[in-house]
Amino acid sequence: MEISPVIEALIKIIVVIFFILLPCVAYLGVQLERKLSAWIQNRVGPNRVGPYGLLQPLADIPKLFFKEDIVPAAANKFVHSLGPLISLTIAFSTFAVMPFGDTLPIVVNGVVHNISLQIANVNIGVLYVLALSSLAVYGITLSGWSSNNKYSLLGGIRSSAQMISYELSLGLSIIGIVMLSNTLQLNDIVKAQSGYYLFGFLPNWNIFVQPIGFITFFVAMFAETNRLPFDLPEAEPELVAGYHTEYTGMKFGMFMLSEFLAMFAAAGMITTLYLGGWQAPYIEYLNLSPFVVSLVQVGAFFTKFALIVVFFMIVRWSMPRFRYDQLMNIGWKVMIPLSLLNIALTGLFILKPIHTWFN
Amino acid sequence: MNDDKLLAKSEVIRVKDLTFLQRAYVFEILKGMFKAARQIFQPSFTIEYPEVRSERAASFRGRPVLVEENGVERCVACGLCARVCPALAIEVQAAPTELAKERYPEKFEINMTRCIFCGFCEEVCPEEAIIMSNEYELAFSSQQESIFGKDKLLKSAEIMKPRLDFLRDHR
Amino acid sequence: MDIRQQKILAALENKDTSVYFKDALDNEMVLNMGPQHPATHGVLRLLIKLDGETVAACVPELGYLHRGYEKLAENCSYHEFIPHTDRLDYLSPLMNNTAYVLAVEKLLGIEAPKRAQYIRTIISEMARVSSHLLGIGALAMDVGALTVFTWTFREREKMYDIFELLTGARFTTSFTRVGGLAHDMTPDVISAVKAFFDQFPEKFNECITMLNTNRIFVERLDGVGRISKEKAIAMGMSGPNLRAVGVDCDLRKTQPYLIYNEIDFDIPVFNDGDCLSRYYVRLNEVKESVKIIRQCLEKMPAGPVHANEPKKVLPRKEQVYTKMEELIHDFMLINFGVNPPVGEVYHAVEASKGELGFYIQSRGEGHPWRLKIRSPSFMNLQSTSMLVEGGMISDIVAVLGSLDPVMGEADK
Repeated sequence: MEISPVIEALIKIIVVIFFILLPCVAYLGVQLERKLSAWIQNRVGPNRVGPYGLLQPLADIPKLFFKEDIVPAAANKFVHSLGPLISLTIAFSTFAVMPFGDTLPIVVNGVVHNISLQIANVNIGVLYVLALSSLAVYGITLSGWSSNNKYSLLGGIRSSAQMISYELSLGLSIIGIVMLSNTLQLNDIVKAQSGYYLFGFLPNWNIFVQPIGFITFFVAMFAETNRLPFDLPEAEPELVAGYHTEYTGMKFGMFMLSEFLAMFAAAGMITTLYLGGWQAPYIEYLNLSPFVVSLVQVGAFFTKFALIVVFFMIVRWSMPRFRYDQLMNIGWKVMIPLSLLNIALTGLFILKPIHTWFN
Repeated sequence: MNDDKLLAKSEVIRVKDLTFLQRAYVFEILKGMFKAARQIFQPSFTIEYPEVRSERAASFRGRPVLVEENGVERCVACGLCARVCPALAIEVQAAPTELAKERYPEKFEINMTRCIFCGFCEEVCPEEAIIMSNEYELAFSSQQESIFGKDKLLKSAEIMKPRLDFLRDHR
Repeated sequence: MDIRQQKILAALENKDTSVYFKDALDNEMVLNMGPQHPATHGVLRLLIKLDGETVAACVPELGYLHRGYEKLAENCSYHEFIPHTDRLDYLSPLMNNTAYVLAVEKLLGIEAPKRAQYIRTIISEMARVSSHLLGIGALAMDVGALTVFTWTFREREKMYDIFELLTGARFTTSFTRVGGLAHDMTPDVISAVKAFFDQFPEKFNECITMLNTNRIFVERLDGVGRISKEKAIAMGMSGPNLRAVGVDCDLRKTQPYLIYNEIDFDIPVFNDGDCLSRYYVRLNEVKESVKIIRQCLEKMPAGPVHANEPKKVLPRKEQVYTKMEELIHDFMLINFGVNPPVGEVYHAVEASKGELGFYIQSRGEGHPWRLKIRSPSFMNLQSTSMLVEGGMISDIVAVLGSLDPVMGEADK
């Protein structure tokens, strides 16, 4: 029994969207963000809907749907509606190439089917992700421009400038990894991170191999997802709500959704590229069946992923925000030289690996 | 840390005064995160209002009430409370009565949307007849409802004992 | 429409209510910030001419919270105006209560007993702490650190519990009276104050260490919104904002009122006059206030809290119930008010925002003929345009946060 690749991909898309992304947005995003901020600020947080407020996201979504959709009189109506759509589509698309696990061996009628836990194993996965993140700026800029609101416009301008400047260091930091693993395929990058690095017990993850690249990539990802301390496009005390000032109801909801998805995409990319993706270290000593190993690997991916998301959130609630010129200074004068330095160092180590230095 | 150190004058720390580690952002961000994350394990400071209510002390100034003793209000309708009220919320109309106090308020109305709970009526009342209660949950669905007549204002002296005792002791 | 309404309408139509920039727009954009805006601390309206992100010009417009308190006072007895003072600087109502009754007492020529003065000092300083906590928290929030704001608010909330226990209201305290206080500070309030200030320094330290060495925070404020000493004096700045430019002027030291000359405390002065200095002045003033309150609690004598002036101060309640003379005084004082001598007084105190002065002109009646409020926030706001010009949009919120204006007071 062969499953056609199209149907397989469709099933995967449905599983990823409805069983991974939406619950993630609802609970890991909305609920955890609100609860975490409440705990940090000595508050209780949402606790009215359902036990411990667990049904709060389910109450929020109908609320957003039933709110009046207001379009400003002087807005460009088509572009105004297009903005959130672009943002949302792009935020969803990033997950198409994300490897949640290696392969899941399923035995049907005595035949082993190896199902790849990735919607599409594109051979230019890294470029695909970079291309999408550069497209994301359109959603924000267009919505900022079309709202016919000066605050939105300022938010849109800030956002485009910020995203373009940080895109450079984002791309440059990935080059180090591509040089090391000799591939643009994300699953292969994860596979290249297997084994052990120094002293035989540190996993061969890129965070240990490329610490400078990790920091620049991490910071650039913060800026790409517009999270504090880089949330200038929507800086509340300055620009009211930035580019989504004039959005109500589900259009605002789409922005919120895409913002959370962008954060998850960032967390997923950091996990995949630097934290060994689905690699669970020391698992080969346990002698588990391939099926269980595969499940543990998926679990490992989501654990790392959730930790990064929590990190993102705590930073959001403990930091002040940069000023526009400071942001640009860091982007151009610190981040880009650092990522260039990373490329140079990586090249050096590839030409002359570390164990050959002393003999 | 001891108090003297905490209360010592702190000098301005400018960008040029920051050490290299503080300049490098990352360590300060981690420090801030650590401090923020520590608060996660502290008990929450807020209370869950409709279920949990904090106690109101006797000194609390809630909505004004008229003290009722033996089924009759103490008020003699002198109108001093209406005179002192900064928000002009009180209306009193006096009428003669057979009782020893000779005058009683035929009509005593407090407009609760005007009342600012300053407690001046209580302070000037020569008969201890109008005092502040500990009720603070006042919500109305119409303007008419917010005008409290004698039916809503009268409260027996026994219920209001904590406040009356507080006034005796401290005013 | 009758003739009177027509006249009012015509007058309104003729009135020039628009705001102008001196020169025409070139490639700039005019941004209207406020009166409804998350960062303008109330209903301040700022018209900003923007060149990209840079502020080319700024015109502040005030008056959205004008309630006519000065005019209102002319129809209130001296006693009746006390609750209105709560609503001036609504972040430190106890300080306003104190400032107002001090001015009236000066007009009447009476003085509150020692214990009342100590209590007034304690509550003024507590109001200063709570106001500065909000100032620091709001500044942190304006530059993006939301959590510090809620932490300072947590401490303020504890103080409000004490205010409620002491005065009966959390916010609109109306606690002081001409010639004394509404009532004495009970022992449980004193122990609550002590308990609060025992735990406060550590909690406060927690808040400020999140900010002090945080480079993002320091960079946002360092050198932003700088004003020179001469200009600050010329613009009538006072309070923490003036002390941040290096002028060692604090009414608590220069013209001691209440019992400040018996207390040992320092005035924090910094020299640079930028947002960071203003932040540090506030931060250090909180620490000094804690010291003042502790000394006051130690030194506070026993005794009455009302001046023995039957014709000027409201009588005690048990005397009203039992004695004819006091009953008559009660009626006379409320119905006709205290009749101060003809004359005028000005009394200013060092409020949390600056010099809060009440100028009262009396014609011997039960109500003031004219009452002028010298509100510090109004004066401090005058220099806004000077401070923000040449900066960026983000600097506007930092400058406003560091000026710490309260519109209730600025608009009166």
